[in-house]
Amino acid sequence: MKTACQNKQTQGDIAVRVQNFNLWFAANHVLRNISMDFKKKKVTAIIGPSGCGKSTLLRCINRMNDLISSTRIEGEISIDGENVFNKEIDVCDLRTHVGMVFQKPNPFPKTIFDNVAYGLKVQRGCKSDDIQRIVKESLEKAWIWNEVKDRLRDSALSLSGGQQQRLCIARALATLPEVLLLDEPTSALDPQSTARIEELLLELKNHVTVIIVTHNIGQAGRVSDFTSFLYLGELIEYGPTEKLFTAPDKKETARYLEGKFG
Amino acid sequence: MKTKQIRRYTQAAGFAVLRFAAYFSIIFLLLFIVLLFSKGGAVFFKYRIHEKTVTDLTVKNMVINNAVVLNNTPYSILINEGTIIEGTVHQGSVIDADIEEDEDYAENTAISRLTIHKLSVERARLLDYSADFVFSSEYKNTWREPDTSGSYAHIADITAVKPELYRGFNYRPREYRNFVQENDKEICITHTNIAFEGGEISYTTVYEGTLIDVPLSLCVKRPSLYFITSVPQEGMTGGGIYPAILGTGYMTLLAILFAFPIGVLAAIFLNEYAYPPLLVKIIRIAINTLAGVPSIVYGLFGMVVFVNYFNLSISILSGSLTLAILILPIIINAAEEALKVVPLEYREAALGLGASKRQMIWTVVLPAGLPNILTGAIIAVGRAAGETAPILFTAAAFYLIGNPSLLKPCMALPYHIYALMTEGTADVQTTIAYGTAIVLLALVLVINGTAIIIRYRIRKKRNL
Amino acid sequence: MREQAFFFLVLFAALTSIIFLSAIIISIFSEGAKIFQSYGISDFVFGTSWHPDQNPAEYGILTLIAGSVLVTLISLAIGLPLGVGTAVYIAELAGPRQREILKPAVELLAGIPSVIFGLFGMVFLGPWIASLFGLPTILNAAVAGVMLGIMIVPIVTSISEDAISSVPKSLREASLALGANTWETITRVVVPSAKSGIITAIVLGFGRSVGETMVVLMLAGNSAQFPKSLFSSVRPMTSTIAAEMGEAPMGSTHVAALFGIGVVLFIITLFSNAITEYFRTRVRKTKIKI
Repeated sequence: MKTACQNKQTQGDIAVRVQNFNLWFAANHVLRNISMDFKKKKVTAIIGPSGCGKSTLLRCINRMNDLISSTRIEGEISIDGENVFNKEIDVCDLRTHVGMVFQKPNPFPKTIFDNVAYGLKVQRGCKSDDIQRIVKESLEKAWIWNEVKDRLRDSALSLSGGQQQRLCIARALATLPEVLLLDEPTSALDPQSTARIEELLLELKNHVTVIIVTHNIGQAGRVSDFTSFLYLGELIEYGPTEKLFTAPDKKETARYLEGKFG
Repeated sequence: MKTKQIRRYTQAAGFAVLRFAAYFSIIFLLLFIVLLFSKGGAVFFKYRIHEKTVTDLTVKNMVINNAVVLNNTPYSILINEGTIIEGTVHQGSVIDADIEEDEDYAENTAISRLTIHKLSVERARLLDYSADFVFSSEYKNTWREPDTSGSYAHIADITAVKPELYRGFNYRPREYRNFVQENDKEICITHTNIAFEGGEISYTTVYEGTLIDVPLSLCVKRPSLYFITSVPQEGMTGGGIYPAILGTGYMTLLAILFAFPIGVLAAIFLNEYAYPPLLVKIIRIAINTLAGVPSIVYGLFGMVVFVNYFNLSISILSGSLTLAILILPIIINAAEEALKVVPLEYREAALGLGASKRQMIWTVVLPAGLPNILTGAIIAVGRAAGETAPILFTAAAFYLIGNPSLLKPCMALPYHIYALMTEGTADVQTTIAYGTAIVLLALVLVINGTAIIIRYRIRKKRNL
Repeated sequence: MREQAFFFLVLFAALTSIIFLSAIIISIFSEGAKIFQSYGISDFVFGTSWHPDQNPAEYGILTLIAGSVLVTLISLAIGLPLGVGTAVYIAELAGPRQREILKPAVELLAGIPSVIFGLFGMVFLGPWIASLFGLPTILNAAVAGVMLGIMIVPIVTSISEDAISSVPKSLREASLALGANTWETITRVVVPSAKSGIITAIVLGFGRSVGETMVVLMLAGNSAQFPKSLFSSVRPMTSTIAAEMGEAPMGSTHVAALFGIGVVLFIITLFSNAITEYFRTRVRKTKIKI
């Protein structure tokens, strides 16, 4: 895996492959034998009722669950054919290839520029010109460049909620990841900001593979190409969004989409 | 990649530095405690004199050179020279020994078996002795350096001293301190009355001399609390620190007596009433400022106001009033925190049942917060006990006789340590200072430990 | 009726804090004013010669202030890295069992009376430093500074730790998700975010060091000269008051001068308290924001 400043080559049309994946938090079997593929440069939504393991699955892809000590896993999650749980993998390096945006916007109490440049500076390999360029490009990709281009040295906390979230997206994009994970990115935002970001996601898939966890069925329908439905830790159904929403195979999927339970 | 390695090494180095910083406190504490006890531990032992008056000396391995029967009367043989082995005299002078009955020894007969009752030694030289033995003589009045040449000590003239004075570790006259250090033995002076004149005793081996009437004393080191229970003696080089303990105890007790009610009531005001808001703000600023005033300034204040203006002179009263104001902010903060965490439900329940605000506070809130308030108060007590600067000019004295009284100055533990280290001249006073420090520390630890245990118990109870 | 009485009771109890503070201010300032009037404030504060025994006596406290500053700076140089480092370790790196040893250890350190630190310094630390650096005297600014530094570790640790643990978890997660390792997260995100709290800790440590009496009294040496090096013997303000008050005749100019020092000390600590309060409210404000 190479550093963010260099171009990355990828093969095939599968960005992330999950195979027979199981996860336990202590004695709790949270994810049960999940197998699915996330297609490259497409938006895949993971939906399901609260507590069914959506966020947990997402956080496994960039190994954020390592922070919880009682975690035990079985199975594989591979990116570009390499299992991310391989002992030889440098976790920090992995996370430059897989970016994450969190539910509540969490910009650092630093300047806007420093927020976006953070991932690059930490890697210590980038030249100053490259950093300037990548920061600008990332802010453009996140549709926030025009709003902040004159105040890059202002504190990131001076932005509104929606702006902060787009800043977080720009920040995640700055390391030039192949995959972008979003964990309910709009649940803390107002409707206008939400709409903005949903449009942005449709555009972003031109640059990265997008995987979004959402409890908002409508949002999944609006933004995603593929949808997977998780219930009680199991993958119930997975397929193209249109098909899943209009003619789901499984009964539970249909019931969930009708709002019969949540 | 090189940068990856740099990052990894930087992290490892950084973690190591942080780990060192964190464990420094523990290492320092351990070092501190070990050194404290090694230096000061001696005060908690004392030499008990274990007396054995030996009128009947059984002599083993006694060598007497050239013993000859000089005079042969029953029960009294004089032997000129000879060797006694295991109570047997081959030759030598013995006075008053048992002879087997019906034996008749002619002069110049070699004796083969003799039991000696009373042995007199002239010009005895102490060749060796175990750690617990020494002999002193009442008959000589000067103490001279033991002759440490060779492998034995020659104690020629030994001072007779009043035995009671020399019962503690710390009564070591300078004269034989050196010997003790060099030979790594401990000397304990007893009130025996052995006289030596000439001769040599090698642990009951006598080479020429007269040993008269040997009460032997064994010095045994036993743990003792005399340090805590007795008064200072011998010009501050011995005895105990009981008056200082008493003084500190009285002052902190009085201080908490003054500060606790005021502090708790003030906390009630801040947490339950807090009106008008501007006044509350000023009061809070005042409390924070009081908390930040250096302790020496409190001492100055106490001097001006209590000692001089109110004419209380340097006394326990002045000192405890000064300390009371010093710990007041601590109590107010602790009590306020305690009251804050009393659940709203308790208050609403009381009010809902028709209690007035005053009743609610007095009967529900205060009791609910009391354990935490007490914890804070106890910590404040610990603080007051250890403070020196405020009592320097308001209460403290180095040496005082008589019982402490409100209007008289008093001895205090922290001040005692300071005074011993800066005004004392004898080496032993360092040890006493350390002993005092141990006592003070133990006091503070017990106090703080009690507070921590109470806090722990409360947390357990509340996590039902 | 009883209600009102109770209210006034607690009000009065709270008012005592203002009364006592005023009493302290009035008593110190009124005694200290005497030296300001007779000797002149600028001569007093900036005079470099403290010789109360001379005739005519000189009461310039600049050397004393310099002594205080030197000792305080040394103590901050020792106490701040140790304290903040300990706080970071406890908050970020230590496991629960480690915390159970470390936190009580620091609390224990905080409970030791200052005079015992002075004793320790006289008998162990002083001779050790003297032998380490080949110094002729055991008592000097360095020993006092080091001992004082160790003394302020608990308070620096406690405040820093509060500040560091109130940095939201989400910031740490964001940093890690961007590919930073734990050390980089700590140094680039967590500690800078806790800046206000750490500055509070620094200022509090400063205030405590400047106001400490017994340790400097026993360890800093005793010469009222301008410090020439780290290892000079100095006389900070607090130990001057403590040492000379006993000998100075009542009501004399000397006593007034000592009170004058008390006034200066009081003002310095007032200042540092105010700065602390300012940063404390800033911490509260940022907490609400995040």
